[in-house]
Amino acid sequence: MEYENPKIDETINLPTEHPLKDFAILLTGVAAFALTTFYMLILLADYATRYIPFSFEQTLMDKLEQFSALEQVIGQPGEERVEQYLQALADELAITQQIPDSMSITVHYIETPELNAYATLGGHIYLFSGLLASCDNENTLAMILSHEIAHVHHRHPIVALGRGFTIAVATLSVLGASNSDISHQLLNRFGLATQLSFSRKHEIQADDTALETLQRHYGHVGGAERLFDLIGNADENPLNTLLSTHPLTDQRRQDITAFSDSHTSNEVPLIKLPAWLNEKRASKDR
Amino acid sequence: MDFLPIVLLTIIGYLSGSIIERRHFQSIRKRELQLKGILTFSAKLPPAEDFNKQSVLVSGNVVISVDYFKHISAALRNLIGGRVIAYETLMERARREAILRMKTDAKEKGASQIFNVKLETSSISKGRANQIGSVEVFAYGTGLI
Repeated sequence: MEYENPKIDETINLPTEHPLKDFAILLTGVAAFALTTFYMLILLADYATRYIPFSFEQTLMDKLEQFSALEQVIGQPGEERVEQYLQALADELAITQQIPDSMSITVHYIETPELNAYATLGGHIYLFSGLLASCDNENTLAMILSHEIAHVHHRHPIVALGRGFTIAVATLSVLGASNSDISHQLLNRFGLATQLSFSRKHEIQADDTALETLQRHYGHVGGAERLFDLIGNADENPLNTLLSTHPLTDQRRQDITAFSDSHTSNEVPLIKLPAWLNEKRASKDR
Repeated sequence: MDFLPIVLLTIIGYLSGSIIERRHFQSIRKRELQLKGILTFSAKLPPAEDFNKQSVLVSGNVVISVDYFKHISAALRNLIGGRVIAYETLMERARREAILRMKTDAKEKGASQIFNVKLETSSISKGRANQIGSVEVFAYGTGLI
């Protein structure tokens, strides 16, 4: 009997499809699914974080401060008077802005040449001396403070934190939480309460609320646009971080001008800063 | 997070992997033709008239590594399900290569027929997360001289 091993038809076992085509379809499909899921999770986080009580934010911030470096830079001796003045102004603006009773605003004054101010969890607002030194009237200063109070008012810090954590946790669940390098990187990037980045939408909302506050408090929004002169001048300053997350300065300036035109027509007198603060600013300049 | 190393590894994996795979298939087809004369059977026993022939154990094994492109491609496939095309060609190469090596072994031992041919496979570095695995195929049978 004659036996033979026939040549095997290769099309049975070997795929006819190009491996790259298969890979491209897989990658596109998985990426689209992941992005949609991420987006849905972020929307859900945005929605859900608003229901976290403000008191929890305060507790969280107290705990964070215990092991962060924040405590070392704030509350330097000799600056209590500035902090008290800023706190008083912020409290007035907070009342004008009608923030809920459960919320409290705490202003911290930080001695550093950076032109920056930010709001974070628990109603804490940080104002850098660089920015204060550049304000030559109370109205501009009030615009800055109102803007940061508005962030707190609209719960932007906790929303940003929730969003950051959602992205971090979702990424970890895809990549595998076992990879400790990636988990550390992610949690550091998104978990830092002091480096929350607000979305452009949040910045515009804070601008709008701040303008309304100014209008109600002073009867006009004069001086508000000076803020953008300050930021605009600081463009070359590498330390300036305000611009990076904030909406286009020109756009914001136009919005303010539009708001101003629709509410007041004439030139309005701006309120001077207290004399002692002006002296302090002058001494800084030297 | 830095995705650059992953992208680079995937590109390198694809380029090197596809060149090696194409060459391997060419070599497999050539040698299959050369060793066509050595017959393989899955039957446990040879026909009765061959019972008096001398027998010898013949075997061949091969280990082939997965490249990074196949690894990523299969990982994506794992999320969805379906044919893991990236691994199908790998297994095909390993199986045919193992049989070829067994046939070469038989040829060197003077056998012209192999009965009771069996294939065993195992994966190396099985169970370890984030490891690029290798596949082993072992072919063996009874060669008749």
